[in-house]
Amino acid sequence: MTRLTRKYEFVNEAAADAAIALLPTDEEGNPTHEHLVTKLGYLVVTPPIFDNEFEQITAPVLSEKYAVDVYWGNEADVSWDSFIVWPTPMGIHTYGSSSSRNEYEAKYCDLFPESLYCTPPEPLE
Amino acid sequence: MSLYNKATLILPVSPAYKDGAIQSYRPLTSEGAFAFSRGSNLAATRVAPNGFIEKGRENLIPASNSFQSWFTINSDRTFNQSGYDGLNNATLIEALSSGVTGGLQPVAYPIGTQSGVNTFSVYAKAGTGDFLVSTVAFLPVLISVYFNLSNGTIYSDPSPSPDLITSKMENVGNGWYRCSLTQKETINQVVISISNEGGVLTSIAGDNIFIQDVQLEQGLVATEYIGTITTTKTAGILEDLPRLDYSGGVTCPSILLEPSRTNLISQSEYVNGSPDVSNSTITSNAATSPQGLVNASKVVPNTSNTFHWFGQVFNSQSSGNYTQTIFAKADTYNHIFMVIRTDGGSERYGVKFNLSNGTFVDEIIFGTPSQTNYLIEDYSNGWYRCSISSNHSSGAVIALFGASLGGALSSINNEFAGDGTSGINVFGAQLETGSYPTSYIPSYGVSVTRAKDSCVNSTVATSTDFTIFFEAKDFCLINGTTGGSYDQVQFVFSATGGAYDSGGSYHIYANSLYYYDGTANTSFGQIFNNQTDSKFAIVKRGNKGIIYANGVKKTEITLPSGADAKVINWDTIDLTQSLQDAQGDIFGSKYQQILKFNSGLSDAELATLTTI
Repeated sequence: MTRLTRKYEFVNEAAADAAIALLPTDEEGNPTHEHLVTKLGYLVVTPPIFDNEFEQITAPVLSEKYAVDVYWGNEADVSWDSFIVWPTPMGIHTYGSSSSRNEYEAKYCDLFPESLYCTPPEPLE
Repeated sequence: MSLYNKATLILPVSPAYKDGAIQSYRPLTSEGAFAFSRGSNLAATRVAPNGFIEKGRENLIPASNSFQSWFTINSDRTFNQSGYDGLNNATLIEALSSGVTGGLQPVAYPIGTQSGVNTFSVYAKAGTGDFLVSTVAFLPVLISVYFNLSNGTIYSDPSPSPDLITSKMENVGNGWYRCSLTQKETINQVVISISNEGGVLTSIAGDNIFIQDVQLEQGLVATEYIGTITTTKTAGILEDLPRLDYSGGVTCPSILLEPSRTNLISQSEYVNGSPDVSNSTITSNAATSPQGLVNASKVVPNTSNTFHWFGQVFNSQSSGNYTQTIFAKADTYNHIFMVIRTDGGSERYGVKFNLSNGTFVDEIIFGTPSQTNYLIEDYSNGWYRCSISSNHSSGAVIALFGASLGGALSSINNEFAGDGTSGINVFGAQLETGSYPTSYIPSYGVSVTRAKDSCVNSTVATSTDFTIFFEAKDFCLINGTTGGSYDQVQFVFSATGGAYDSGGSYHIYANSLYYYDGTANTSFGQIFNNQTDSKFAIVKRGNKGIIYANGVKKTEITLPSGADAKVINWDTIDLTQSLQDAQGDIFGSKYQQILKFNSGLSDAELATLTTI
């Protein structure tokens, strides 16, 4: 079974939590979509600066969006489609799965065939 | 008669396992089949029978020895040559023109784009030409190494690429070498070329060399070759392969079952690529690691009388417990010092371990860190896995590691002056959320999540009376012992695979066994002494509920009226359904045996069965 790695962005953590809470469950509370949610948080846009004792001098600049990766058991929940983003494979986080990575790469190149990632380079001479 | 002859289900860990399933010794039918899934191969590791850590591996180059499909660059190919392994499937490549590049490249876009630390390797032998040139690239960046196949040396490039970590020639006999280069840049091309001179990518018409078995893989070293045909191929730990763990040098393994965890550290092995290195020199591939390969790093503090460490800052982390871990081995220094800073650095917890004897030396705090813990575990051959934990509320978490002198800690920065040459060896850094460390999750440039193990048998036959026996260990380890009040385990058997608190299920919670019939719990009493017990039996005999642990009857209750009929209503054994401790951590465990009997064994039999 090939599991799907999908990446999402929300306006803030509360919005992400709300979407997670709305993932469908059966009458016993078990998820009807097999999934593993990994909250990546507000990604760092500009890293903080530390002195050489690791005392922070300047704070990091963080993305305004809250990032979440989901490892879907078979198909992604369509209710999350409006939050999906497609960073260049595999972004800053993976689920350590060869088959899921291959699926994400193929999907990415379907969506962005002209991207540098998906355009074959000329052979070296 | 052996008690094993009476068992209807026997699940000792056995060779009878494959990707997606473990089959019990008895019965050899679906009733004895446990479905297994995880969905992570490259993130999963175990201790293999040889005592070394085994990973999931992958050759990222399709057609890894089918060079007829590769693009030729001013060169020709002759196939079916005698190879290093005795097979006649090596390839002779020959330059067609003088003064230009001659070589081979996989056909267009075969390897995708690979980021992070990876190693490109090829077996090669000199023909009439001397040099094999391995090149990896993401134009305009080129990283090339010249291997002299005539004398087994690597050309010393006066200005090597800063992205080249290391290169290596391994003599494999009969004039063959395995040539490998390890680098850290994003690449999307690999090329094998012929050259007649080190550092100059030109060849002479007619020059030729033999090549065989190409591999591109994550990590600092070339590992055992994985042959590919049309696609990439994996080996070692597969995505849904049960992990039979031989930790501690045992001959009888356990089934390693763990919750999902993420290694936040982006370079777990290439520690010289850690975002932050202070007052230390780090040499990659300096020693044999717990993986049994020469891919451990040596960390040497400099002579400044100050702090010496490497590590990584993790901004904006969610609240909870965090545990940082590393494998370490004494070299010319015998100690490692580790600090975890939480709440943006306002809370700090540091611990020093002695790597010559595997003991805790001292701990120190700055601020008021809470729920702090440490652990050191023996991984053989002088290697120890050291871990420390602390609670975090908000802001950044900072994980720091460094070689150290001995003695008590006098400051949270552990200042001292090194001699510039002495140090320790390290491998496999990890930072994960949770109050205890889980198995090693390798990372090569980005954080990696290992998904949860799932091991379920949903076809267990019910019986009026029964005995369930299980032997397990490492439910949760804190400070070297199983931990305080955080000692729930995950063993659940239930009707139709429902949740542990749904109708018709047994579960263990807070040391006690409960049967929940959908309305109310029936407690069988305490089952689990977290300090000593590892063998447990749960028995339904008539209207009695009985628990044995380590040869001792823990409790015997008379089941409430009506309960004796209900408590047989289950058909599923789920070894991985999540139960959480008071802090929300989900526990893993190692199961060595599971037995089911369709009868309530006698007290004498139970004492025998559970005696260590």
